[in-house]
Amino acid sequence: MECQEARELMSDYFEQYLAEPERFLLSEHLADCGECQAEMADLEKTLAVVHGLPRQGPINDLWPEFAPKFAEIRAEMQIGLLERMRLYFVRLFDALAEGWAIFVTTVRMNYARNERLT
Amino acid sequence: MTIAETSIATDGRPNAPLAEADSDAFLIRRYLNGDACAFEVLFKKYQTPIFNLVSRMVNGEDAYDLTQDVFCNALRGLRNFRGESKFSTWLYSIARNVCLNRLRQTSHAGEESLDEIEERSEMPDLSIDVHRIAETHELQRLVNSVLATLPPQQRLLIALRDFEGLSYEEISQVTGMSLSNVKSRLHRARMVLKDKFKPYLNLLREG
Repeated sequence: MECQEARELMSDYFEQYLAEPERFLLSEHLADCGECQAEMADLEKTLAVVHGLPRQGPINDLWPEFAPKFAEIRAEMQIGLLERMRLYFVRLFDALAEGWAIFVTTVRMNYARNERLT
Repeated sequence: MTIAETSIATDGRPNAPLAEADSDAFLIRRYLNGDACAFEVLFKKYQTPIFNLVSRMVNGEDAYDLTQDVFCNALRGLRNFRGESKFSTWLYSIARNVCLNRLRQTSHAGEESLDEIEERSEMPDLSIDVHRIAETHELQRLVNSVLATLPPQQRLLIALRDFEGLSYEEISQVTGMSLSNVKSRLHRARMVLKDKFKPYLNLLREG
């Protein structure tokens, strides 16, 4: 195995995702190549430092600061719902009014026709 | 089960067990059914992991504002959350977008060019007291300042995998990259981090 190929496989080797025969070939290469051995050791040490760090959390609970925004967004979303309901009722009213107008016109025409016949 | 009985895990590396994912689904249902407190529980559960990710991506006070932006976006989009991925994964993808948008604004870079922002050649912040890097706080600062010299996409992959412990599949869902792309790009990012961190490894050894 060449050094370049060995270096490409180091992350997988570290994660223990490397399957045979690559795993064996890389182990063999690392045993023979001082430079790659040092690279691998540096990678392991760097990742050990990173993995050893605790999570970086906010100094204080962020909820008290977020709560007013939460209320604002909820209100905004509820206004949106009310607006949608208003539009729904306006459309319903328009449709009913249109239906009523057609009904009245038909009745009046029918009445006029009956008047003419009599 | 009341909201008060729902456990809040504020720490512990991720890969949440099934019960945790179930409790998220339960809380989302409660919230969508009108229980506002359920969102507070979700917020308190995820503020630390999200802050951790955001603060690895952007430095300083911005992390506080951006963490809140992540939850604002989540709140607005919660009705559209279909549950096809874990809630945490969905939240991480919102955090990813929020962070990359901020970095785009600050770097004035175009959408596609963020990926190609070169790593910065300058050395990390040397105001760090090298005699105190054995202390966790200084070590956090050191690691963050080294991370800040990496391109945003590399920083993101390291933050998701090595700080937040997401699986490759979850990272693929968060970033929209294929699995093989995640693997190869993460490896490249780690090698860059290793090279940048090398001068400090000796100091750590001496400390």
